[in-house]
Amino acid sequence: MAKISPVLEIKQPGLLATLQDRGRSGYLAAGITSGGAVDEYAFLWANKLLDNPADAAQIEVTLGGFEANLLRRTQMVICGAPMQVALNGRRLPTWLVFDVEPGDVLTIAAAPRGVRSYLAVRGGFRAEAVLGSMATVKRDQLGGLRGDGSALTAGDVLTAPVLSAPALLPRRPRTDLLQTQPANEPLTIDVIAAGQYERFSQQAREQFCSQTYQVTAAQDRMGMRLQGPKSLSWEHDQILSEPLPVGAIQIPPDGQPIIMLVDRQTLGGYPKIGTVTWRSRCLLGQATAGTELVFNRVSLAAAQNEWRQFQRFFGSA
Amino acid sequence: MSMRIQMSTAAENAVMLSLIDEQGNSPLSIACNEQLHALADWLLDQHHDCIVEVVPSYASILIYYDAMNMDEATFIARIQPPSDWQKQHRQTTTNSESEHQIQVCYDTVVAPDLERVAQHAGLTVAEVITQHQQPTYHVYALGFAPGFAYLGDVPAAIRCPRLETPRQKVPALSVAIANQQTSVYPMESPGGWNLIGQVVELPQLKAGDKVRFIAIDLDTFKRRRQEVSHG
Repeated sequence: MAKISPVLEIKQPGLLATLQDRGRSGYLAAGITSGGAVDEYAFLWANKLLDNPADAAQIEVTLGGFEANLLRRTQMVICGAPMQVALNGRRLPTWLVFDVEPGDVLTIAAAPRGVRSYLAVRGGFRAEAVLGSMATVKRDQLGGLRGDGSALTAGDVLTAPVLSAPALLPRRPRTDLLQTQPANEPLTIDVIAAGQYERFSQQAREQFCSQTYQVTAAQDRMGMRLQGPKSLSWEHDQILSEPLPVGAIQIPPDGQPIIMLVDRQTLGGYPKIGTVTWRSRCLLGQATAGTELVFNRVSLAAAQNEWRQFQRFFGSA
Repeated sequence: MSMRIQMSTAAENAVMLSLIDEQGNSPLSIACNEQLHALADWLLDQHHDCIVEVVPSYASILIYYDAMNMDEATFIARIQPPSDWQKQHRQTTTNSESEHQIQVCYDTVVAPDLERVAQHAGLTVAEVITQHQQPTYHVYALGFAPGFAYLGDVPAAIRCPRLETPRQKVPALSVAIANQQTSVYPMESPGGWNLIGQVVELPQLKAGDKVRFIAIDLDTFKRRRQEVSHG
C-alpha cells in the first residue's frame, strides 16, 4: 500500500473550500444527504487526467480566494471554473496537469465567470471516510478533513498517497469536450419531465420552457433559486413531502423555481416540474448570480443515453 | 383500504413509486405508511440485484436503480409487485420494526414553548404533557437532518402550527411538535417546531419503528444527562 504523506497546507481557504468526493450513498433513508462535488463533470475530468480512481477526493474551491503551500513533489490539476490560477505568481492554465515542488505557492483567484474549482492531486487527498465517503456536508456534520462536516481552514494540512508510478505528461481534455456557456447567450439547461410535471397546467409547462430565467444570489451547495418574469402556478392542494432527487426543480408557492443540488435535504414538500439532467446540473454548479438560462425539455431516453456515455467515459458507473 | 401503485420518472437513474387511493391522492395515514415501508422492504428483498437505494417517505418511495444496464420500462416491469406481495412478504420476513421508549423532561426550563402550546390548546401544561405521552407514535419517515424522525400522530387536542419565524438555533435533543407531527432534534440546528421538552438520549430510529415518550422530572433528567455525558 502506498505511503500517505502531507502534500499541501492551506494558507487561505477563500469563501468556502471543502474536501469532496462523489458523495455518500445508501443513507438517504436515514435523512443523510449525498454531498460530493457540485460540478461532478469537472471533478471526474480532474481525476481522469491524473489517472486517479473516479472517486478520489479533491478540494472544491468556491469563488477563488484560495492559497496553499506545497509540501512535496507531485502532480496536480485544477478543473472547473475558469479561475486565475498561479504557481509562485506565474499563471497556470486550468484543465492541464502541472508539476509541483516543496515550497511552491499555489493560488486560485476569482474570475468574472464560474463558481467552483476542483483541485486534485495524484492519488487523491486522504481523510477518514465517514459513512463511506469523505464528502464534506456542513449541515449533516459529516465528512471532510475532521469528519465533522467542517470546511477547510488556514493551517489545515492535507495528505495524499506517495505514488511510485512515473510522472504523467502534461495533458488536458480535447477542447470540444469542454462545453462552456456562450458569452452572450442564455445557458441551455436540459430537463426531463418528472415529479408532478403532468399535474401542472399546460400554461405553466409552456411558461417554464419558454421564458428566460436568471440565477439568483440565493444559492449554495443545497440548491439554487431562479427568478423568471412570470411565476408558475400550482393549482392543486399541497403535496405530501416526498424524497428529492438531486436536480429536482421545486416550485414553491411564490412560483419561482428552486433547483436542488448535491447537499439537498432528503425530503421536500413542494411540487416538482422536472429534473435537471446530470450534465446540465454540473453546468449549473458554475452559474453565478445573474446568469441567464432557458430550460430545454429532453426525453428520458436521451438523458439516460448521455448519462451512460459520461459514466462509461469516466469509468464512474 | 384499496391503494394503487403509481410509478413516475424521478431522474436518469431513479423512479418514484407512490401509493394512491381511488381519487388519485396519496393519503397521510399510519396504515398507508406501514404498507409503504413493507413495500420498500419487499423491493429490497426481492430485487436487490437491480435496485441501488430506496428512500421511503410518507406515501412514496424514491428508487435508484441500475440505469447503466436497464431502461426505465424494463425496470418498472421487473419490480412490479404481484397482487399478493403482502402475503408473500409476511411469510418470508420477520417483523424488523422495534418499539422504543424515550424519556422526556417536560419541565418548562427545557420546554420554552410548552406554555404557549397549552394556551393554544386551551389546556393546562400538565394536560398537554399527559396528551403528548398518550400515543404509541409511528415513525413515518426520516429526513430534514440525519436521524430526524417524523413521528405521528399527535393527539388532535394539542396540535399546534409551526412557528411563524423559525428559531436560528434549536438545542440538540429538544422534543418538538408541529401540527400532527412530533420529533426530537438530533443535533443543534435551525427549526420551526414548538419545543415542549428535552430527552436525555435519542435512540437510532428507522422508518416504521414505534416510539413511546415517558416523562421524567427535572432532577432525574439532570442526573441522567450527567451519567450519559460521563459515559
